[in-house]
Amino acid sequence: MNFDGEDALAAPVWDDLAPTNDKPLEDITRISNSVDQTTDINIFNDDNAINKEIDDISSNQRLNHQEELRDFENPFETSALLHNTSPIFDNQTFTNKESNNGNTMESENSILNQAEISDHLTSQTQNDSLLVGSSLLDSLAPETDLVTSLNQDSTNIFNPQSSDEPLFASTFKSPLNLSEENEEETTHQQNNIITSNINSKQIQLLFKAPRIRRRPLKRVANTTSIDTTATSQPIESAYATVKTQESINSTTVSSTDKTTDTMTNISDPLSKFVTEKQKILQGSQTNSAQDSITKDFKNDIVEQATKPLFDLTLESPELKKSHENSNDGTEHSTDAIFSKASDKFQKESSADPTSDTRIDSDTPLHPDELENVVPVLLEEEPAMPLMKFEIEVIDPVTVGEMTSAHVEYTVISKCDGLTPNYSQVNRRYSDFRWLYRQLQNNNWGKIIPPPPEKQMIGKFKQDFIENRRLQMQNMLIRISCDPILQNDNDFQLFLQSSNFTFDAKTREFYSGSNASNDSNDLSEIQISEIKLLGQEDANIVMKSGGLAGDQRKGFMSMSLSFSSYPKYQEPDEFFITQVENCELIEEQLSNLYRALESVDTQRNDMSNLVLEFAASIDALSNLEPTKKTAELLTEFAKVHKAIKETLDRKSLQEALTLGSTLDEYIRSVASVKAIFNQRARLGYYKVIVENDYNKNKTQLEKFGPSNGKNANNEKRKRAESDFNAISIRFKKVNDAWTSVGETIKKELSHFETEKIQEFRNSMEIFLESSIESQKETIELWMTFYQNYL
Amino acid sequence: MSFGNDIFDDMDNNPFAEPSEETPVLEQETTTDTVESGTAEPPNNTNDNNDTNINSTPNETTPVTTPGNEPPVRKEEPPQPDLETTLLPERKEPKLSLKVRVTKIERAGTTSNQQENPSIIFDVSTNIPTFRRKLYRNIKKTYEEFNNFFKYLNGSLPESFIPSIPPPYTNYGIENHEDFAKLLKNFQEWFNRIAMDQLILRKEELAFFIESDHSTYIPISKYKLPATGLKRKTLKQLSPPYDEVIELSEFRPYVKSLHWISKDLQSKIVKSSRSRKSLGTNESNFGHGFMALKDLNQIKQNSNSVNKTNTASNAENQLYKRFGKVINAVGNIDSIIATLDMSTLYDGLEWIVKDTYVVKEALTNRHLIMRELLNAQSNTKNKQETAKKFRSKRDINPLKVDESYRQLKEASDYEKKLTFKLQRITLNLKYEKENWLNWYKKKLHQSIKEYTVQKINYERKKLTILEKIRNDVRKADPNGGLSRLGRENLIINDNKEADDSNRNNGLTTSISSQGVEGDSWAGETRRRSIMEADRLNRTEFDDSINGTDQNEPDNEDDEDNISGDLTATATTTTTTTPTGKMDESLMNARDAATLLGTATF
Repeated sequence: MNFDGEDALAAPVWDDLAPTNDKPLEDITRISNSVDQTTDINIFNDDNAINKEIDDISSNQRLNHQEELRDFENPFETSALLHNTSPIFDNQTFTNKESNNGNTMESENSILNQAEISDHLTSQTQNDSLLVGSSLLDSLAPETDLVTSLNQDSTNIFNPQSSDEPLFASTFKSPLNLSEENEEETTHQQNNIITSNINSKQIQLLFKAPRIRRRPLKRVANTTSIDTTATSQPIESAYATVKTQESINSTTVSSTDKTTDTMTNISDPLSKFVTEKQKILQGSQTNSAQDSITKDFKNDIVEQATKPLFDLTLESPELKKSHENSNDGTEHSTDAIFSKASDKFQKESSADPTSDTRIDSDTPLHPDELENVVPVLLEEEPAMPLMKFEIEVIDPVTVGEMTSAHVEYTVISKCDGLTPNYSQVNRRYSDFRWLYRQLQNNNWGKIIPPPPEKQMIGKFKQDFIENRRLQMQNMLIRISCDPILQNDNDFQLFLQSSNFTFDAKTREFYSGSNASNDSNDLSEIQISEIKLLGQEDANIVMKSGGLAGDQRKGFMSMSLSFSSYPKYQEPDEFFITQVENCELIEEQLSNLYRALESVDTQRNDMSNLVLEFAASIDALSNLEPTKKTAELLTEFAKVHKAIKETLDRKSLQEALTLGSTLDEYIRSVASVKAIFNQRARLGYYKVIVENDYNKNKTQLEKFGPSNGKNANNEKRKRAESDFNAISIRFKKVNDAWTSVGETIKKELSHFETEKIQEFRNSMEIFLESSIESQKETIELWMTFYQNYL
Repeated sequence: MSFGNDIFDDMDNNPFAEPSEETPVLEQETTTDTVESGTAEPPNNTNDNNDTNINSTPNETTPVTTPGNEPPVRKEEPPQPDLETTLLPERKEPKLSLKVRVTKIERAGTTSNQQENPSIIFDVSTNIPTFRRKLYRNIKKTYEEFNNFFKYLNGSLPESFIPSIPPPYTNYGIENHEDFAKLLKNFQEWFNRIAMDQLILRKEELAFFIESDHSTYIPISKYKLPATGLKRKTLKQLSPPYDEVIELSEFRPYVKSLHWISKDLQSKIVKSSRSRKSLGTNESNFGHGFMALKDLNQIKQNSNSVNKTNTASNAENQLYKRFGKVINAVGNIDSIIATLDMSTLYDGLEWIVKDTYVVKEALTNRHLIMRELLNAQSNTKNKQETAKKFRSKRDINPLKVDESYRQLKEASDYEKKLTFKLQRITLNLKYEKENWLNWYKKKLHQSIKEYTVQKINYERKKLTILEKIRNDVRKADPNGGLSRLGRENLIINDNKEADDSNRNNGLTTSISSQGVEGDSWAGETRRRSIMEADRLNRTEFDDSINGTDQNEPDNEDDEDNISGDLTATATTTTTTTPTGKMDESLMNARDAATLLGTATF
């Protein structure tokens, strides 16, 4: 992607784009990027005769919004406050609340109303602008996934947002910036709704949000591919496909129909927001067509968690294709994102028994299109083109006062597959740790490129920060080179979120990764119950103090078994030997590293001593009365200074080649150990759950076949449900355990070859540079010898 | 003394004229003195110069040549042709010669004795009359005896900078070839310096020293420093007396700072050598780490032979092993270099430090004598005043007058003596200063050269060793490492050619950058085959490399010439080393092992 696109952007580009629908995605995204800039918006105005009002309003609102942001750090607070401060809109919030109670239609209506209001407020619509809007939508609600799109909304469309902003807050508020007041208010209301939900209902439902997002683009790709055919009536068809969330669609449709490009901008985040809301509202709307899909997702939660990551890669090429064919396609794709989100939500909800009731409540979807989606999806899965990332970690700056002082690094990432394709954010070291933990949690069994160690006392201390910067850059690059990890939402969040502190916490909360409770040991792991067991079960388990505690507190007293639960024995020989090897390798490598380290420190010492020595020689030569001896000594001193330089260079080069490779290798080994730990932990859980499972089974069997007796029957029923729950749990854990094992096997073979190659490379470079510096040294001495001795 | 009488007479007869006349009188008197003591030398003076030249040249050539020293001195003389002859008659007639050839160093007894008190065995041929014979063979003197003799000389000869005894052991450690050669060389040099000094040769103590039995020598004659102990220390604190001889007055602070800077340098060398040594150890450990990797790999290979083909992992193991060995060897070389730093530059400086101290103290002695002279002068003056006073009072007790005259006579006698002594010292030290400076420069130059040569030698060895593993690493992964730098052709091509023929030869063929034609990286050609030596020296790797070493015997002749050239200074006096085996003079495996303190093979 051309990062200078904004410069190149001009009115004619737009002209070409809109009517012909031929423009490739790149152009569109570029335009959309340009839209981000207020100046660029003016260009659109020239072409499309958009009211300047909008700009003014949006800018005003932006300001307002910023003020608000300053006041409120977290969305709950803000929304609550807004709720209090804007009683005018209580009506609407009330209706929304009603929708919360299951009256989805009402909520739709309210949203629709709001959308209409917004439509009215936004002055006019034009066909061109409509198309613009669609393309904008595309770029804004991107191919990647919701999280990123949210981020983009916050970061790029609305530049001025501060980094303090929480993820969701930003998304909620982002529409406010560009939309007119009414719309802003509606969004506020929606915020209120959310907060009310959060406050009133189960917080656990929030957990779904990330998981939903984790499944982002499979659908998009499919829908877009389908939509490539559609040319004439883009909007309608698009919305038809997307029907999952009527409210969103309706707003977007209306906006595309009537509003200007800015309006579409507004609608996009809004709709997204709505999707959020709806998810929280337990997906009141589902399609009949999706029911079939939901079955797939019921299968295995672990699979769910891992699968979508693979799907992500599909989207970008597909999208491009679609964009090439038609502008409409882009619009569809954006819509598809929503649909996907809703799909996912439905999957979640289907997994969630409570939400099952609503699945069929209202589904204005076109089933045929969705049916088309499914097969396409299956075909596309195997191919996973890598997105090409360019990532730089630069510019370490110390921030903060005394106690809170830390170093922030600027992370610049460029990737064509993501929108925006360029982002620049500030991250501190602990954020990298977070990323590591989060990825570890998201991808069981994957070897995550590790961040640098926490404490690096004395390790190549000549440039600690530089070293760390390099290591972190390597880490990011490595992650971005992995087809699975590069599509991880958290990775992309990390690259793009402008309000990382909050986003990170939220994500962590949702995924139960406990990422910020980061132990120093890279190999220690945390198994998220949420990911393992799914939402409800995790809640239950968490209540009783986690899986392991579950056993102790929950069932031990009942089951009379006071013996500690059986130990986990790794059944697979492969893992046992691999773990042993791993330990061995780690030991050897860290020995090696330590040796290298002391070589390095020693070399530094020596270079200093050599310098001192040279100084002494210089002193001697100053003393020398005869010119010849003085010259000899001066030259002698010079040689030593030169030697000192070669020594310095050599130690630097050692640190950069073998040192950093070794260091990374060691950390990677820790990462490998982490996956073994994951396996072991899961195995441990498996044993525990199996234990419970067996107990429940025997308990159930005690009741014998059901007879008519009421009392017994009730007990029996309870036991049965217990048994069912536990068997589901057992199955999940078992599946997770096996799949992790498989992933590990795959990963390991890959890891070994890669690492060994890397290691050998650095060995060679090390050797070569040693030879070169050796030559240099000899040459220095030879020259000295020949000239002066 | 005759002149004493004269003075007395003069004083008696003409007391008022006396004080102002002192210096001219002295000159006259000294001339007479020489007439008396020189025993009919003066008439021969001019002729003698020629004679001495004739005599001195053959004498001096054998031990150490100092002809450069004396001629200029003589050129300076004409204005005062008498001064030197009168003050330093010995310099005018260097008929005496002493030729010493140090042949052996013996270390015996306890370890500390071995180290601190070696016996030096040497042959002497001389024409000094105090010696009973002209030729002595296998004289054996302990280091302690040398020290005693030195102490005596230092005390009894304030006119000279007595060469300090070289340190009894070198940093090569004792009982090895290098140490032996170095010590031999140092003592030879010491004797040469002694033999150069006619004043020393004229000391009959020299004969006592040489003719005494092994380990029995104690100075027979008495010697006395101008001041010792606390007194000396206190006097040294005072600012030096006014010195009209600028040369010498400037020389002392110069030597002093030389002394301190050299000491400083020494400590720096010690530090850096220590750190280099531990660097070497660390590097060796690092190498061991690699070797351990290979073990690990083997375990791995055994445990999951599924992943790799056996041959590949075998090659890999081999690579790690060799790489580790190479690194290890590099570490060892670094340790050796550390030792060599110490034994070349440090030891050289050590002697310089010792010598500067002696020189400095000799100059201090001169200062002390000057101070004494000042005292004596004022004493004489006082005495004279009293004498005058007595004279003016005619009615005074004649006994008292006599007494004061007697005292005055004593004081002025002493003053005369001191003046003469000081003049003699000053003059001789002026010569000695030049001598010493020359020695110092030579010594420094020599140490640096030695140091450099050894550095070059071992850095080259390092390079050779590093280059040995090069192709192994390169081959291990043709797509990695260098190929990233776009240099894959560089070695791979070499490999292809060399592979078949040199598989067994350990890959050294085409890639060594230090060939017979010179260094590949340097523009100029240096004809040499040190590479040979390099390879021969690192026997650890010979398991795979041996073949090549014996394949190129044709270079040996070159080697002798050039390497001899290169290392000539480093091993100047290792006369025992046959020219054909220059490697040994550098370091053989056993010595290298001793240097390291640990067995590496």
